[in-house]
Amino acid sequence: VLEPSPTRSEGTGVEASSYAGEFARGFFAVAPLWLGIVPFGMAFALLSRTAGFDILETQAFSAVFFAGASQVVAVTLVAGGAGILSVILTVFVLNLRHVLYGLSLGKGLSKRTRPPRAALAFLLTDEMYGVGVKEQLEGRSARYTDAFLLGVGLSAYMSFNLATLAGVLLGSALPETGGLGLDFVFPLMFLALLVPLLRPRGEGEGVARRRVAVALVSGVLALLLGQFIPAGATIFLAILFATALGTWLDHAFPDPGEDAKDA
Amino acid sequence: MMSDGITLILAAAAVTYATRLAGLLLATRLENRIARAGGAAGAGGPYGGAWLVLDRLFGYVPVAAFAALVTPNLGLGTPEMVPRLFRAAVAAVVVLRVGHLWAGLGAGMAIYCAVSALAASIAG
Repeated sequence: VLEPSPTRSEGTGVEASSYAGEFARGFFAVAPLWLGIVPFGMAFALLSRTAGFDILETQAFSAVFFAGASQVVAVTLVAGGAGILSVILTVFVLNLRHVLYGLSLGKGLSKRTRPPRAALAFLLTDEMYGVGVKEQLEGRSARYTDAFLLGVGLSAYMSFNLATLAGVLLGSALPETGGLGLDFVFPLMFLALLVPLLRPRGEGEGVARRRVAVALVSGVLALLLGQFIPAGATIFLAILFATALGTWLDHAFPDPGEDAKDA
Repeated sequence: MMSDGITLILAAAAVTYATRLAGLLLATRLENRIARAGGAAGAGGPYGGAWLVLDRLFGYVPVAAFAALVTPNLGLGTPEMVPRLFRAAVAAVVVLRVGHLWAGLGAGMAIYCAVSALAASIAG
């Protein structure tokens, strides 16, 4: 049941309106990303059809799998003659980073979420993690975080699936958008999320320096490892190494009064 | 009988869902452990300190994840490098100045359109 009445957040000082309001806020928070999601969904449909998947299979990729870049990797591997097992293993490694996203994001959720965590998990992507964790870092109440995340996830899911459908139905009649640079909207969003975290307000220089070190190491590792292994796996490994470094820096160079827990 | 394509999609969806679900479900258990470890001495059990270390580690996940999602897309060493770095720099400055995520995103995209139009007019 959606609660219509405005409610104060629980102890954070940031107002959370209602379940329906937070759902809508989450849904439209992703709206600027539709600019990148829609051409990506259409391009995937074309790629999938070219790789030999039929219309139903192409739509099923987006509707059941819903994993953007991993879908592209899967159809590319199949087109190259890879077997099912090797494709599944690759997809698993590519998506291991979701375990870290879930651990990071899940800590800020209520014990009982609506919908249950099992349903929210289906919608968990890089974008949902980015926008969702930004909310938590800004001190939003956990009370309606589930509603916000559901809005974010469904917004991405619907736009990506409608774009896939458009790609399936319109095929080569679609306009060429490759030269518009719309794919860069995703890294730009993650950069815009990263930059404020490197200059935390109300925290000491030590915290900022450690965060910069973690970001640098993670970014460089992702870049270097990307020369040898698939992109999703590089992100997982880069996060593991860089967060371990940050934890070690906390231990090796403790700053009294500073707390990097909420980095 | 199910086609190979549908089998592949279902299997890929299952392993992906497992990675998505695992973290979200484990987070509650982790939070309980951390809360206990952060309480009275010894309340977190023999590995209480390890849970606190994990808590610190997961605190750095956003910074590490965002950085790792940006750098591979900067096109370093390709002809796209300069325009992408330029857009990234503009977006970073705007988001710091304005303090709003989407302002940085919009500025980054707008600058690309402006530069492309300028390049086209020069070439034309």
